[in-house]
Amino acid sequence: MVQDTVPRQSASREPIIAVRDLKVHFKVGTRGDTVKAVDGVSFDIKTGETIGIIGESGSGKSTLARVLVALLKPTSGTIRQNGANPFELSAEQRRRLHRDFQIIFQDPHAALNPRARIIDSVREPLEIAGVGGTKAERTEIALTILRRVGINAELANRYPHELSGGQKQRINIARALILKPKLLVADEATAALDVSIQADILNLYMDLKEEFNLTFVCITHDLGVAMHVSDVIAVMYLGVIVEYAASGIIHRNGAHPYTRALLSAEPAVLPKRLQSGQRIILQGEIPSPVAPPSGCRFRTRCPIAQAVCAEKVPEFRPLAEGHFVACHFPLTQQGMPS
Amino acid sequence: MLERLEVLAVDASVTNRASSVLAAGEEPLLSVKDLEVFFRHGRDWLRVIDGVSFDVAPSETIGIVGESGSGKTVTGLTILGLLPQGLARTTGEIRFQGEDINGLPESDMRLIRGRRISMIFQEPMTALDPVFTVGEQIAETLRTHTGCSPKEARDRAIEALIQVGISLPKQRADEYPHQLSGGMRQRVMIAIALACEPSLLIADEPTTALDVTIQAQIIELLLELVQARGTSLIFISHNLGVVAQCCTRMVTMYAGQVVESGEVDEVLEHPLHPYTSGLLRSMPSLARHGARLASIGGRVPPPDEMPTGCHFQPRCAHALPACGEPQALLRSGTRDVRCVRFPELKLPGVLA
Repeated sequence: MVQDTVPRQSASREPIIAVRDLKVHFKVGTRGDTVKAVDGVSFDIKTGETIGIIGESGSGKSTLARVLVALLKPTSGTIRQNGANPFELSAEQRRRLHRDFQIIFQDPHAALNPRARIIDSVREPLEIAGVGGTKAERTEIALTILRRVGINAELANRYPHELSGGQKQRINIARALILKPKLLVADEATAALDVSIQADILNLYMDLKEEFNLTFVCITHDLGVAMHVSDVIAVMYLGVIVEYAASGIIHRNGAHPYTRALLSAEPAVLPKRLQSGQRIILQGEIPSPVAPPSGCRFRTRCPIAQAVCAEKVPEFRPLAEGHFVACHFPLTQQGMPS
Repeated sequence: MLERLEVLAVDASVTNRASSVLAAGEEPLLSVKDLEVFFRHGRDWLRVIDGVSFDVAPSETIGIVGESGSGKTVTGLTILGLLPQGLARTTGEIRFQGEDINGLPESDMRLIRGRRISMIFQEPMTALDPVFTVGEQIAETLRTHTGCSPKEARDRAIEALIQVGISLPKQRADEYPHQLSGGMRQRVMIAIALACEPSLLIADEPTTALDVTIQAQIIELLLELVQARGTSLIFISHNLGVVAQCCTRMVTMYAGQVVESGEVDEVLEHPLHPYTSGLLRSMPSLARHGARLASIGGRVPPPDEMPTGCHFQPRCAHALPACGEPQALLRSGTRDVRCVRFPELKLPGVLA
């Protein structure tokens, strides 16, 4: 069997996003230190698929999210949106492409202009893109999308501070969807919400995904949320993807020790007799992205690290079709290193 | 290599200890009865805590769960007498080791706070003082309550840092909070809170700001320390998974009231209150991929628009005319529930 060399689920169609050896480095301080926020990732996102990107703070999730919607220029490597590299286009062409690739941020309040009425905030994308007809017609489009995300027309003339966190996040969703994008990135978009409100918003995402035929990128530190909505999961650690597979495989059959540790650290809402007996508690904390460890970046916290892990960077290689892992000693189903 | 994995794997029985049942005649360590808290709102007083009652047995671990605005944190602050005077007033009883500490003068509360009852907060950076080293902050607690010498306080502070698993404790003791990571700061908070060996520790969302792998470390540490010392723990959290993992009993709060309490596993499997059931069902789980999440709908009413009857009635799928009457906390065996319909309702829990 010929296996893909790039993490993706199938190569049947042109992917909506193709990322190749992407690096984003930031200069910090006065000593010329470089934060390697994203340090060489490659993967495809298939049209219509939902991909979850999970990892701890400092793993590079949010930086990657910003590159996916072309808000941040990579230091090296390429990103292609629908086959086009947005950073090779003219400003005008790139603005046109932006419409199809939208993002929603974590803090629903900070994302809204406090001095603009809701209806003005939601109509604004149409005005910037120069679509939607007259002002009255644009208002009508804005009210329709607001109704669709569950915001009553009578709230349209209010200001953000008059609304709850859940309502504000619905408005941000309306703003992101009003241009009918092809891809939506949600960067920790439910992290600030209570669990019952989060449930409403996640249900809404799943409905809208069907309705708008969206490709959905869910960036989250909450494994429950990621597993719940995603078809595919990419696990990030210190700027690289360490494992990529269908969410069911990640859940039951994760091969990277970090994936296993993350899953076992998540406390299950289950009676004690049904809680898993084995919990892997990782020692230490995520190292600084200024000076990542040599070899495998996870080796300083890895319970099964060997000498070779410090010397050689593990290749990100296919383990099975659609399942990629960067580990010298990937774990098999039984928990034995292969 | 496999053995190394197993060595690091913690046996679940360590963290999931058996329920500590109150023996006959044994006094609860803490008994909160009919607690009401009012906040000043212009010229009026708004009731934000409405008749909260629960007991904590010696060395018991209880969880208080609920959404933002349910009154979890205010309950914790009230027990410690930390609400601003003049802006808040309280009625009811907070009986701690046999003595009602509600409304004690500040001078008396100072003898209890930090010594007999301690608290850990969600955001360790704001709870620590940025201009003192962490060693000084632990030593301050010790010197205030035990009157030991500065030298002895420093030695005990370093000892406390060792106990919370901080490497290079002598060096760390001389560092400032901003030099530490979030997880380390929370370890320092735990060291301060447990320095005087209190009988009761109130932990208010102690892991909410932390990553899941660091959360696992902190919970393991916290449970280890309170179990070794026989400290009772009130664990305030919106994270039901954390409560399921580390508490023996749980109290569900909604809109300023206790709506349900009972042994954790029983509540998870067979919730008696529609709100508890709704909370449990709205959690996205690792196992139920793509399924529609049960949502509760609506939101917690603000304190000045509280319904006169059941506070949950406007959001409840099971509401009847009888729910318009004020609801009492009803007892069923070892469990309490504030729902008039509980005997007839069969509500789904986490397994259904």
